[in-house]
Amino acid sequence: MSNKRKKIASSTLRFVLLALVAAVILTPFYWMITTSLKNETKVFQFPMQLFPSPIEWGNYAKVFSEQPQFLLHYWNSLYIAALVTLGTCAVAALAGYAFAKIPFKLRNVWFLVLLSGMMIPSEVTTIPSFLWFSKLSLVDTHFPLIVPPILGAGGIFGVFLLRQFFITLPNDLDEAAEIDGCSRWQILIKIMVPLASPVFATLSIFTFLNSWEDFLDPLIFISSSEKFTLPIAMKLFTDTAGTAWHLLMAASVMATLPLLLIFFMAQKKFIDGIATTGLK
Amino acid sequence: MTTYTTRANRRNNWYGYLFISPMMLGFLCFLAGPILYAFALSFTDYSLLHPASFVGLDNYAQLMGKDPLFWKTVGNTLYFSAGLIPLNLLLALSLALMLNQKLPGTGLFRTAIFTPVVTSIVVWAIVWKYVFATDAGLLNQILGYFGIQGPAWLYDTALVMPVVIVVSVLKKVGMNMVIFLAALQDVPSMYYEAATIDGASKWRQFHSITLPMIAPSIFLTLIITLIGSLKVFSQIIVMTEGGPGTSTYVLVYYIYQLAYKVFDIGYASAVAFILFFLVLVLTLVQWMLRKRWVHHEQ
Amino acid sequence: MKKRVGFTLSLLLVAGMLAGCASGKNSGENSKEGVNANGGGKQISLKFSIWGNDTHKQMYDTMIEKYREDHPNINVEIMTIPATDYQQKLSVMMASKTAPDIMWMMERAIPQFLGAGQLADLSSLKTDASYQFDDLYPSTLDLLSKDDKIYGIPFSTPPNMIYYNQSLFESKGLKTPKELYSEGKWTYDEMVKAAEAIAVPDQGLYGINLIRPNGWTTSWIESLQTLVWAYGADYFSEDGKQFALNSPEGEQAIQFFSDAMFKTRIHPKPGDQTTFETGKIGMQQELFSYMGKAKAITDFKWDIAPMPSGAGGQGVTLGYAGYVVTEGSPHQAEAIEFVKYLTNQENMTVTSQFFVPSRKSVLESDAFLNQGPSPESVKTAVLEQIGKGKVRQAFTNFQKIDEKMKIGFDSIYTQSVSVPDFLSHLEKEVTPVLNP
Repeated sequence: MSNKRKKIASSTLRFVLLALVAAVILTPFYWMITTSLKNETKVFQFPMQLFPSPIEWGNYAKVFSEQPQFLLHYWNSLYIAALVTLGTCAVAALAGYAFAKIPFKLRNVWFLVLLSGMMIPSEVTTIPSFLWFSKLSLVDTHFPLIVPPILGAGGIFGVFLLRQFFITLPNDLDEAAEIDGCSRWQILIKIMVPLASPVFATLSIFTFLNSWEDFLDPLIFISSSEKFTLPIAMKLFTDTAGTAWHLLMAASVMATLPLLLIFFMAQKKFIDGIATTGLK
Repeated sequence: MTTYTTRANRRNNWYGYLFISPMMLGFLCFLAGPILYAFALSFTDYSLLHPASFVGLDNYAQLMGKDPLFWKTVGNTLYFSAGLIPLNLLLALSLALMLNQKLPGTGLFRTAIFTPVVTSIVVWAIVWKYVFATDAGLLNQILGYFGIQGPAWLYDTALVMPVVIVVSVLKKVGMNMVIFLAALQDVPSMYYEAATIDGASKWRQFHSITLPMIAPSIFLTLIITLIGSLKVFSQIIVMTEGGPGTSTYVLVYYIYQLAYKVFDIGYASAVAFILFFLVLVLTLVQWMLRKRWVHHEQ
Repeated sequence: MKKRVGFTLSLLLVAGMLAGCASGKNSGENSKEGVNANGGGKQISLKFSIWGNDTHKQMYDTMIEKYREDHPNINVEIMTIPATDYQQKLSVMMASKTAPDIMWMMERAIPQFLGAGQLADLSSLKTDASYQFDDLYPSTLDLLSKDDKIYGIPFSTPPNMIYYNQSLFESKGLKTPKELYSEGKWTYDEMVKAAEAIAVPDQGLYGINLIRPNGWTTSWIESLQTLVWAYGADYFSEDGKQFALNSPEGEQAIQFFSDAMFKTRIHPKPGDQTTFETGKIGMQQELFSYMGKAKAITDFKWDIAPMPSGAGGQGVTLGYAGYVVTEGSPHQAEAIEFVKYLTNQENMTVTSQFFVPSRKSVLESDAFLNQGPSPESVKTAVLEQIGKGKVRQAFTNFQKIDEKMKIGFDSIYTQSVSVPDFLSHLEKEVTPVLNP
């Protein structure tokens, strides 16, 4: 009896603690959503309006009328982030597998060289890259936003992540497959990649988000407004007269919601998926 | 035997280099080039609008000897990391332990705590800046409701860094939680059953079973969190701009200021290579320590 | 041995790419000369960068369309850059010689680009009879002038002013700033009296707010210059070589501001984000560009008035933005022609729906006067002030000075030092940057 009561008490405590953390974490989202529906003059009302009144659904339409290219910028961000994610996963799978399982010459040297590339802050390589790409006539295209991230610091992170995963897989797996007549290529595609799917999920979230919220590179590399990405579009809600908070928050909600929905739908598969194979 | 080995070696070399070639070629073209370029610039005085002039080691000498702000930023960066890493990992691990049981609402809590991970850091920081605003800020309004006069969170030299650390932890804790959660679910339940039969306490079970089993995950999150924390930037530029005074001046913010505001690109590059060196040393130290407590890797 | 070969090889690879980069530079310059050579009736595309929003872009697009009726071979493409990152982006573009032909330029960026010889000489406009150069307010031209030459034409020169919550003044039975001004009694003392009557700090109601929204980090230059001038002090000596705020007048000005925040609490505390629209601010220092936001207010009555005067006068500060042309642009002549078109009387009247115009004739037009809450208010708060207003001091290394000043002012905001200590410390910090 007392044992059961103890158990109930501990579950309740756990529930309360979790609810507290969740509440703190969700507060900004509450502010974001309510602000996106507030009248411009009520955004900083004191004391704060808990519920927007009047509810201005029109703010969402206004995002598109103030920035007629908002949808285009949205699409640019989406397709760039998707390509970067796909490319990173592919390149990182190849290199990560090689660094973990193929004993080729100078393997560790190359790995260390790669890793060190991850440790330079991109803020300082952006200007040299820009000067470089402008010689190649690749500025004001999406190329510098897609290819260098795949093969730069983001890709290296992917290689690191996948190497750490593949290295934990037993070597007999490769050997058995090799005896069965599989080539290295087939081993990678048919055995390793499916096993690593949860790692790819983690890597995808990281990569997609890094590309999705990157501001400095698009700012420096892109000049034509039809090639802008979302973070630049959002920055345009601030001008010298101040920030249009209600519109910025409406745009933010639209930028965040799809990612949240995808995660919510995938979360069970995502976490359980990681659990069955183990990301170590 | 020898012919077999050489042939296998040759094949390994061929596949090894084939597989790493996209990454390595890209690395050389798009990252190594600019890095070397930046390294070369760190020995020059270059301001974008005027051509670069070679100054030898002046930038580094200035940094080491005559730039108190640089040392302040190193200190601030280490303060940030030292505050963030334990808080992040402990919170992530506790949350993972609490969510590793079938309880009503588990899925919802997981999603809620993961939500900030898929939110843009800029938007996240903007909202928290409002939460911590003086007087009309959300937090101080709530405190005011209980009759407490809240401080000027972002204009208090002692409070500002803890505030930034908390905001950063809340943003990223979900990712580490998910990695821990996955590792925890992978620990075979029979270990715990056996331990329970032996009468081991919960704490003992955690210490002797859970921790060793999830050590590789702890190592992974530690490295990711460490590198991320040393490069902290967006939160700073949105919430504090390094202030008040220089209380939250961190290395990458300093580099950004130098390169994009003052256009002292040579000097900015020198600071960046010091940061590079710092990250390299810390990572190597961890890499060495890893062998002592992660048993999976040979 | 093998290791070393691999390393050398990779070095060679990188060196090869660097060499490729250098040769690319030459070919780039050659091709530009090629473009230079052909002009005439060929299609020319000019790039024009702004930091504004889509309404500004639409306004210019209409102007461009009209321009093309007379200049069918010219096309102008508008480039929008976020305001906060404008200077960075342009600097990087200039370094790679890809800068737009025509640019909006903000006051603090002008000395940097002018000093580096990046702005084209527009002096030909001075002698152009049809342009009516004399119509431009002389006080607005200093920043873009150097050695009797002019390097840009200002299109927005707003004086700062007070937006006040008329309903709050009426409910307390106070005379409004506008009334006091017309009686010649609009002083800092009167302002403090009114602010004290209005403020209820514990309810978040403040008498006066000098800081513009989100402006605490840029406060010294954006918000406090007027106060410093009004107290008869200044930040720097006239030649810009010395720190001048460490004076009795400077100390009074800073002490006033510090007391308003922490002692009498008539001013919001550092880091506060209370805005005028909420109705919780009695008097707000703002620019003309705030008018659009203010017009959305429905909960209370408001009006505008000039800045109050202190021992050193009103210290009115002019905001500043101008059109400039990139030196070395392949279409420099066409770009100058287009700037001439943008700043003629007709088009400045169009832009005056957003910007306080630098042309006298436009400023005095009914179209402009009707922008505000009432024509007389605009007349007193804008027209009568623009001639008295001063543009802030310019520095080529403004960003370095700004950083030192910002860090220094934070010690007042965090109440870490007394005002005299703050001033002597700031003098020590800033003097070296003033004499690089």
